[in-house]
Amino acid sequence: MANQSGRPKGILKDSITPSGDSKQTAREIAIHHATLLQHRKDLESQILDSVILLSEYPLVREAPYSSANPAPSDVSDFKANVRLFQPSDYDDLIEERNVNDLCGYTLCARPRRQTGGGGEWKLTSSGEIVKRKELEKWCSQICARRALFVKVQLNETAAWERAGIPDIQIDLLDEDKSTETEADRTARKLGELKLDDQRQAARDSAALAMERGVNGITSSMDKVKITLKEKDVTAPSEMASQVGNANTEDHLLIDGHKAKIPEEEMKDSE
Amino acid sequence: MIDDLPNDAKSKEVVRLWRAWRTVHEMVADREYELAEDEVNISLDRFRDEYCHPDGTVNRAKLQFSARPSDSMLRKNTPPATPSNPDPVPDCGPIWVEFLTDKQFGVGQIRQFAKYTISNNYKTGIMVTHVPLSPAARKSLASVENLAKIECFLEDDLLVNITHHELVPRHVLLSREEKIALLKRYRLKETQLPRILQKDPVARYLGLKRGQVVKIIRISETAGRYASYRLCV
Repeated sequence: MANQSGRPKGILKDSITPSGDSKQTAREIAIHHATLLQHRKDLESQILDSVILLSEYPLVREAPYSSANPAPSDVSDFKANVRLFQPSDYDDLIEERNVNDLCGYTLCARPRRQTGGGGEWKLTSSGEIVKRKELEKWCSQICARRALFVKVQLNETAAWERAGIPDIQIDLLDEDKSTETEADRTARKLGELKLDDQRQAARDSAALAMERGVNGITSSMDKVKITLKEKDVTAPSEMASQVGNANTEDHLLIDGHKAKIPEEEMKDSE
Repeated sequence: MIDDLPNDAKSKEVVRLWRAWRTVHEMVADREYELAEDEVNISLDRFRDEYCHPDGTVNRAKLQFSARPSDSMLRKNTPPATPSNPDPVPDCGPIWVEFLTDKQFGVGQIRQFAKYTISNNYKTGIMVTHVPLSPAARKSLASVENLAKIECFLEDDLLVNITHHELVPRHVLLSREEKIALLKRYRLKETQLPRILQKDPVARYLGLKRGQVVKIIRISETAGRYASYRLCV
């Protein structure tokens, strides 16, 4: 047709050609999202490592320590590792421990209960009917209580949303501090110190980042540029001053408007 | 024929394992590894002779085999030569299949299997278990993915070969050149193809990797045959 280049002309609008600038920002956005995903993956693998590590606890199984009175070093390790868990990760940990033939409670060294053969359901001594699988997760009822006490303190929020928050603390059921020996106390203090150190490090790095003007990994792109602009409010003041000046003719105003009647007509009518 | 089998639990177990054993062989053969015809179509009697103890129980330790990829499979899995990489190596290798006997599967057993597979230079490992893996074990499979592809099948899922069902159409894996030609022919980007999940039963059967394309050939009442394509995601 008339088109000189010989190519048929499309009826569609020209697509917007990406300029160098938008390409640059697109790249930045892509990199930002990639780092976020990588961060998540790192956290997930870290949690998996914790699960595998904790599935073989307790490390100290000698006589004075038991699930009721676990070794302080194990307690501090357990607390440090379980902090990032979601309840589902904790369930995975219990299952993994059961595969290793241990009680589901991480600080218990006893093997899990084997109720022998039989059907899917089991009658407990208290007269309840429970699933055999549930019963065989633990070595005893008290360990189940201890394990679930930890589980309810875990947070449903995804790990990457609270990885930086230092204030998550996990308590154990009936932690009794009156009977511990001097050595135990120092070990426990050491564990607490370790947690404190982590918190302090997190706080320091946050402060340093703020000082440098670097934002955290999550907040760097989510910002919207805001410019505050004062709104000029002037309109009603003019009216007020007019009214002030002409207050002798107030009675002639109808809705703030003064009707103008030519003076000659007024005289004629008189 | 079924009537003259001794009707007890032992022989049931043998028959189950024989069927799973056959399905695994068919699966490996369908992926175009080199397997002899009589290895795939083993009869129950021969299976009993070769893999059973004298007392009639299956010797599970013997239920394992390996296979090498055939020439056509190697060609299919070789990336096209480029100027920077004039002599590409195929990204598939020998396969190792093992029936595992453990009653429970944790990270430990998986690591052991993965270690065996990798240290013997197998590129793919298939483990057939009769209990599901623990969640942590399943997650830990991803960590060895770039060394060897570990696939896990339940014995129960292998009792029948799903691709022989009349409602399952034929799935054919496309080679890289065929995929490029397809995208060119229809002027598509990869993402514009319909998708198939990696955990789809047929995708698992064929051991699809992310980015591979399968051609699905269906019987059509109007057209005789109808081909559609799916990208594995």
